[in-house]
Amino acid sequence: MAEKLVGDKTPEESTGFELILNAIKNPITRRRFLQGSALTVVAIAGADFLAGCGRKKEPQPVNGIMPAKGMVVADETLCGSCRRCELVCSYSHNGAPWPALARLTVDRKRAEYAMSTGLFKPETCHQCEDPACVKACPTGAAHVAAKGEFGDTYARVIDPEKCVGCRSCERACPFHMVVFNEQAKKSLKCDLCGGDPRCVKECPASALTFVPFAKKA
Amino acid sequence: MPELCGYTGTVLRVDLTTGKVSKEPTAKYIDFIGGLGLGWKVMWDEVPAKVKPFDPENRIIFGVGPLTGTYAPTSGRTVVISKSPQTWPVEQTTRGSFGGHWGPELKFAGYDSLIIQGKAKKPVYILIRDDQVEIRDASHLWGKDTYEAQKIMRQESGDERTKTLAIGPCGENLTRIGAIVSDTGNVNGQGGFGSVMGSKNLKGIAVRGTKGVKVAKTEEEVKDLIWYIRSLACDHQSVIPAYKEGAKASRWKAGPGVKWTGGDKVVEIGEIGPTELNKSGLRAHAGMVYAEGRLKDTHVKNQGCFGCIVNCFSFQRVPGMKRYGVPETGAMNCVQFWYVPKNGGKEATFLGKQLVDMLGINCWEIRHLLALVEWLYESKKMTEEELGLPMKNHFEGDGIEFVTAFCHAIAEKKGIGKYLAEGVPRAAEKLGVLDDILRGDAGPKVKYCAHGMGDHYNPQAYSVVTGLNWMMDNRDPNRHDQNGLVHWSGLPFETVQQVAKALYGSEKAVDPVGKLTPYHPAKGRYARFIDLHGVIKDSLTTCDWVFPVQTSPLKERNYVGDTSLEAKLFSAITGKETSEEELMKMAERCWNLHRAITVREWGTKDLRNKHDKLADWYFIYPKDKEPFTPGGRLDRQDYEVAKEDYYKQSGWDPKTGVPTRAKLEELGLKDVADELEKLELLP
Repeated sequence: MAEKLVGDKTPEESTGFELILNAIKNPITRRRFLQGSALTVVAIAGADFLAGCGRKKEPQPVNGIMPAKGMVVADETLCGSCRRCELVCSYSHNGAPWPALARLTVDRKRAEYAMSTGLFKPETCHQCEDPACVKACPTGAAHVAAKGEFGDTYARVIDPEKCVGCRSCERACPFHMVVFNEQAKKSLKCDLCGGDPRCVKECPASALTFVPFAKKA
Repeated sequence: MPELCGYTGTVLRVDLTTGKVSKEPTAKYIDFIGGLGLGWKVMWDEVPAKVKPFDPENRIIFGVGPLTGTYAPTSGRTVVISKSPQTWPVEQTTRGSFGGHWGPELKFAGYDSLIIQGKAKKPVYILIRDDQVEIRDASHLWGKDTYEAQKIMRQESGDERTKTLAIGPCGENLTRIGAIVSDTGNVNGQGGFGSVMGSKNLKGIAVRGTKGVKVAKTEEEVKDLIWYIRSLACDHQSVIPAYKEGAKASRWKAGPGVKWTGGDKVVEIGEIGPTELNKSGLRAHAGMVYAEGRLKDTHVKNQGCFGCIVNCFSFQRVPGMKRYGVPETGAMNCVQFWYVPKNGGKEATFLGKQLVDMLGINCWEIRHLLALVEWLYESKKMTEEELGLPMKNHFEGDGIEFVTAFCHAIAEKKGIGKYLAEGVPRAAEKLGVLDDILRGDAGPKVKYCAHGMGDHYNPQAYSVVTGLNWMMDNRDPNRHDQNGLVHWSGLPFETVQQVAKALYGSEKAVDPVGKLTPYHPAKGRYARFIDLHGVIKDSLTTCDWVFPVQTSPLKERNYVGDTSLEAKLFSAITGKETSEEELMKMAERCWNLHRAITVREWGTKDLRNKHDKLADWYFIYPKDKEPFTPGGRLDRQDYEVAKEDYYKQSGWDPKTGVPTRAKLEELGLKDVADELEKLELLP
C-alpha cells in the first residue's frame, strides 16, 4: 500500500502542490515517489530538495552517462498560464522577452487546454537519463555538462559555439523540448540555469519545482 | 528621435475594402505613448465627426504599447479604440480592452498596433503570421459561436500557438452591443466594438508571432524592479486577506481552509503571507466573490493573462452543462457572473456566462438590460406574452430557460431582443420609457448612468471622484483605483485616509462607501490622477486591476504603494529615463486629444452641460435621503463645483469644459487647437 503523504491521501490522490508542500514540511525518505505531473514520475532523493535532510550521495554514471541532478516539474492544478516562466527563460538566456525561444512552454498546448480542461502547464525538459538530443548531435554541441560547469547539474546542454543548426537534436527529442533560434540558426534547450532554475523562482503560482532525481534502488 | 526599445517600430494597417495591407512607422505616434494614445491619434487624424460607427470609414484599432509582451507584470492587455455604436446620445469615439494572450502575440509578430478600416465584400478573417498578413474567407465561420470560430481559425493557421479573437452572432447581426472574445473569457464588452467588426464583415483576427521584443535592459538589470513591483502589487489593491477582521471585501481570498474543488484533484490553498510572492497568483478566487458564491465549488483553478502575477480569473468546470448545448468549462470573472436567477443554482449562472461569451454579447450591458426587462415586467408595463420571455422561469424557476431565451433574443434581434440589442437608453426610447429610466422611479432599478452605459460603481456610493471619472470619459470609466482603495483593499478607513493623504494631499480625497462628503480639491486631484493613470495603463499596456499601485500589503510601508511604477517600467523597457510627472504629461496630451475628439463629435462647445453629466435620477432618488447623509442622493450644486474645479485643474475653460488653446499648445497640440478653432469649437 502506498504511504500516506498528505492527510490521509496517497500520492496518487494528492495534488502536486500538496506533495510539494508536504515535501518541504516533512523529511521523507528517498523511496517515496512524487507524482508531479501526468507525464512524469520522478523519484525524490532527499538531499538538496529537502534542505538538510537525507544524505547526499555522489551520483554515478548510468551506461557511461552521468544522470542530471534533476528536472523542473510543473503542476497543472496550479499553473495560471501567465507564461512568466517563458518570459524569464527567454529574457535571461536570449536578452529579450521572447517566448518563442523559451526552453519550456505553456503556450504549445495553452489554447487547447483553455478551451477544454483548463489544465495548461509548462512542458519542461526531462533531462533524460538516456538523452536522445545528445546522442543525435553530430558535432558534440549537445552534451552532458561536465563536473564544474552548470553548477554540477550534469544538465544536458547545447554549446552554441559547436552548434551548426542542423536541428538533429530537435528531431530526436521525444518531448519536443528543443527550440530553434531561426535568427542565430542555433538550437536551444533547458540548462537548468546552473541548478537554480529561473522559471521556478519566477512562477507566481508555485506551479514549478526543481525536483532532484533519485538514485535508482 | 533616437530609437526607443519596447516598440517594434511598425504599425500594421489593413484596409478591408481594397484588401491592401500596409506597414507604417510607429514614430508618428510616439508622443502618444502607444495603445490607447495611439488609437486616439488615429481617430483624430482619420475619422471625422460625420462618420458613423458602422461606416466603412470608421477605424477599429487594436492597440498595444511599449510594455505589452514584456517582462513587465500584467503585460498582456490589448486596447480597442473605435467610434462606438453603444454610446448615447452621441455615437462617440471611445475605448475598450481585453486581456489574455492576443496583444503580446501581435507584438511578437512585430507590430505596435493594428489599424483596420474599410469593409470587406463578404465575411473574412485576418491571419497574421509574423510578416505575412492575409485576409481570408470566413463564410464558413459566419454564424458560428466565438469558441468554435476561434478553434477553426487556429486549426487553419497550421499552428496550435496561434492566438485568436472573434465576434459571435451578436456582432454579426449589428446589434449595438457586440463583444470581441478571445479564448473563452477575455472579452472586450463595452463599446459594442464586436458590432463594428461585424459591420466590416470581419469575423476574427488570428495572430502568430515568433519574434522577441527588444528591451533596453537585461533581465539581471530589471530583476530588482520587477520583484519590488511584485512585493507591492495586488488584485484591486486588495492588500489585506479577506479573512482578517473588517477586510471582507478584499479579493485576497486565500485563507484558512480555502480550497479549489472544481478539478479532479482538490487543491488546498490555505493562508498566504504578503511576502510569499511565489503564491501571489493563488490569492484570488473569483468563484468566492461573485453570484453569491454559486460557482465557488466549481472553481478548478486561477487563470491569468500573459505576464500576470495575480491570476484573477476563475477557470470553471460545471459538470452537465453539455445538456444545455454549451461546454462545461471556461474562464470567467466579474460580470461574466451576471446572471443570478432568484431561485436558480450555479448552472444558470454558468450558462449565462457561456452564452454571452459564445454569442459575443457585452455582459455589462446585458446585466442592465435584464434590470430593464425586470422593471417592465414587475411594473406591469409589459406582460410575459408581450416580452416573449419566460419571466416566471426567471423569477420563480431555475432560470435556464429564461437566460437561454434572453441571450438568443438579443444576439439574434428576435422579438423584444430587437429593441434590447440597441442597449438600454435606445431600447427605453423605442419602448417609450426613456423618461422613467433617466429620471423616474425606474432609475434606481435599471441604473442607467451615462454615455449609453449602465452604472458601474455607483457615484452615490463611491463619491464624486467616480462621478467625475464618469462625466469626463466617453464611456463607463471602469477604473478600479478609487473603489480599489476604499472598498477592495480591505484596509480600515483610517488607513485608507492616510494613504489618500500621502498620495493626494488630503484625507478628504476619499469618502467611506455610501457616506459622501462635499467636494474638496483633493477629490478633483484624485479624479484627474485616475483619468491620467488610466491613459497610462491603457497606452503601455498594463492591467487596470493592478496599476497604479496605490497600496501595498506591507505594514512597514504603512500600506502605501508606489505610483511611479509605470514610469519606472517605461524607463527600464524603452531606455528613455522618464519620471512619473513626465509620463503623466504624455498622458495629459492624450487625454486632451480625447477631449478634443469629443468636442468635435458633439459639435458643441458646451460639454459642461451636454456631455459631462450623469442621469438625473442620481440627484432625485432616494427621495427621502438628503445629500451627504448615508446612502443619500447626489447634490447638483456639489457636482457643478466639482466639474468646474476639475476643468480648472486641467487647464480647461471652466465655463464649457473644453481645453483652451494655451493648454493644447503647452501639450504640443497646436494643430488640434487650430482645427477646433476652424470648427468654432475653441473656447
